Amino acid sequence: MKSILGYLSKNRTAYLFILPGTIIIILLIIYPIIQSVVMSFTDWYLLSYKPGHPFVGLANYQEVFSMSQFQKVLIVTALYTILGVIGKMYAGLGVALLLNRKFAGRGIARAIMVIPWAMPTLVVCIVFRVALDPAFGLINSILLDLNIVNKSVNFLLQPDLALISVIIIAIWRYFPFVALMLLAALQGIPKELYEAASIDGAGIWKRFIYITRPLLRPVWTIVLILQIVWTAKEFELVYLITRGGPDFSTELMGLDIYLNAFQFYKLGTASAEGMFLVAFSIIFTVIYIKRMERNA
Amino acid sequence: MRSRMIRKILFYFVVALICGIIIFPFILLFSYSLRSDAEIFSLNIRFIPRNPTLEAYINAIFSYKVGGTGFIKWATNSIIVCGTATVISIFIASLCGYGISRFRFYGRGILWFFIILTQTIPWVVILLPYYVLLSKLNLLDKLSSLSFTYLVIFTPVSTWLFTGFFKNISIEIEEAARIDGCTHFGVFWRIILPLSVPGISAIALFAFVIGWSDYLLASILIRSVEKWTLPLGLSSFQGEHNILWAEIMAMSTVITVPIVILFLYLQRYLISGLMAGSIKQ
Repeated sequence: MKSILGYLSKNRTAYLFILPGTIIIILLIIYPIIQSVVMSFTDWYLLSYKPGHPFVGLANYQEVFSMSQFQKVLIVTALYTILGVIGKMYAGLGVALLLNRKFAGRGIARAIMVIPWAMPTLVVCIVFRVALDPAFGLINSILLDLNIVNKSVNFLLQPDLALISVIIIAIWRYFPFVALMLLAALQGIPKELYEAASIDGAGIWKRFIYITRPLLRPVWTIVLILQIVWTAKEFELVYLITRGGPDFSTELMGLDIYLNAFQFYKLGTASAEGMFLVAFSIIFTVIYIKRMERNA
Repeated sequence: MRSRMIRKILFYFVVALICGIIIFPFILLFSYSLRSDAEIFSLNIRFIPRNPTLEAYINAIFSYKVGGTGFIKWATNSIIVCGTATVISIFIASLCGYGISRFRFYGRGILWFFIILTQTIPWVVILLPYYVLLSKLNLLDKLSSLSFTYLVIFTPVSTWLFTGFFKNISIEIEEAARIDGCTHFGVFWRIILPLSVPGISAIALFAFVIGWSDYLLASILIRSVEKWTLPLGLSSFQGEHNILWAEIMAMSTVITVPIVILFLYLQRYLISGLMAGSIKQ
């Protein structure tokens, strides 16, 4: 006991600095997460007449697995995450490599990259819903003019197309962010390395493989980890465009949880489903921290 | 010589194409906002409006009312709610980030884990018990609870960014000040904070925008019209029977443009701040 008090007083300054932030994080984020774990084992139906919230064991989890759409939700979430992350990372890499040289107008090109990120999600969704409209949307009209399609496409009402559309919108929204991060990392690579390699006769491809790739890797990995978790838990963007439809074709897990909770008031089931995402994010949190330690 | 010229033209063409794709929705938004409803619904689709008009802006800002309140009220709500949350959370988060970056103490690892966890966990999961808690305490439909909720969201993300940011500030000046008899808090307040103004403004902007663009939390926590924030007002244009597209576009532009300008202005600090905070510490 004495040693703990001694320890605390020795670190008193440190604790005073972190105290307000720690209280907020533990009380209003960590505690609700634990509460959510508890809820996932209880009968939490907001419209139920039964008083209290009895313990029901794994019943909520069983219900999650028995939901008719659950398998589809898993597949949609996996597709959305895998295709989205690949798209964002490689489009970002391409653009970063392209902008990593001096040319007139580079400042403008870089400035333009922050625009998708500055647009509120709701606004992004509104613009794309109008642009993709089959009757008066601009995208269909362009595709018709270029003879790519011969009649209007109803992007958001055909299951496969709806999923592809939201994936592309998500890539459009987030790849400039990836590009800016990778570009900042590319600019940290000493120019002398490239010059020396050129003198030794290395072409563009060799310079990329032997200089850019290994030196970019630490930043690339961190950005990749963050993009994976952020894409897997996405929900607002897709919810505001398609509400998960048509026929659950864009029903991401985060979205399914939200609908179960705030539309069907099945809080227990929603919490149980949430635990899958919580497990996923805990794993990636650990990977992120380990990676950062290794990079430091 | 000729082939170099062609390569240069090709390069500019590709850059222009990419920039065009990135900026297209924003330009489209602006272009739609200058039209009348009739033109947006016209089947003769054009990228450039036929008769540009500011009518939609005037309607959206001055004429449009729901239950007696309109744009001005919602904008005020948004600014107050997000502004208060940003200022308080930046203060708390800079203290916390400084503590984590400068001291070794018991529990530091677990605190860091929790902070990262808040950035990877889906908000929906936290929202369920949080919503139940607020409704038990009768705190739903209050602007102060919305502001407090934003404060709770801004704090960990800003702490995350501040920790990396402070790690990049050289410790020598602080040591010199400490030897001159300055307390830890004195060093933080008189030396570190003034040195970090660009970084702080970038992190503050980053936090502010999360609240400014938030639609979902506000839609869950707020009911009464006079307490709406801008995104809630914006979504009300899509009524049951008619959708005022031109006004939606005008109001979207009004919500977006200030953020775009601030982002452009703070771009350099924003990128380096995020890099330092989240990518390479």
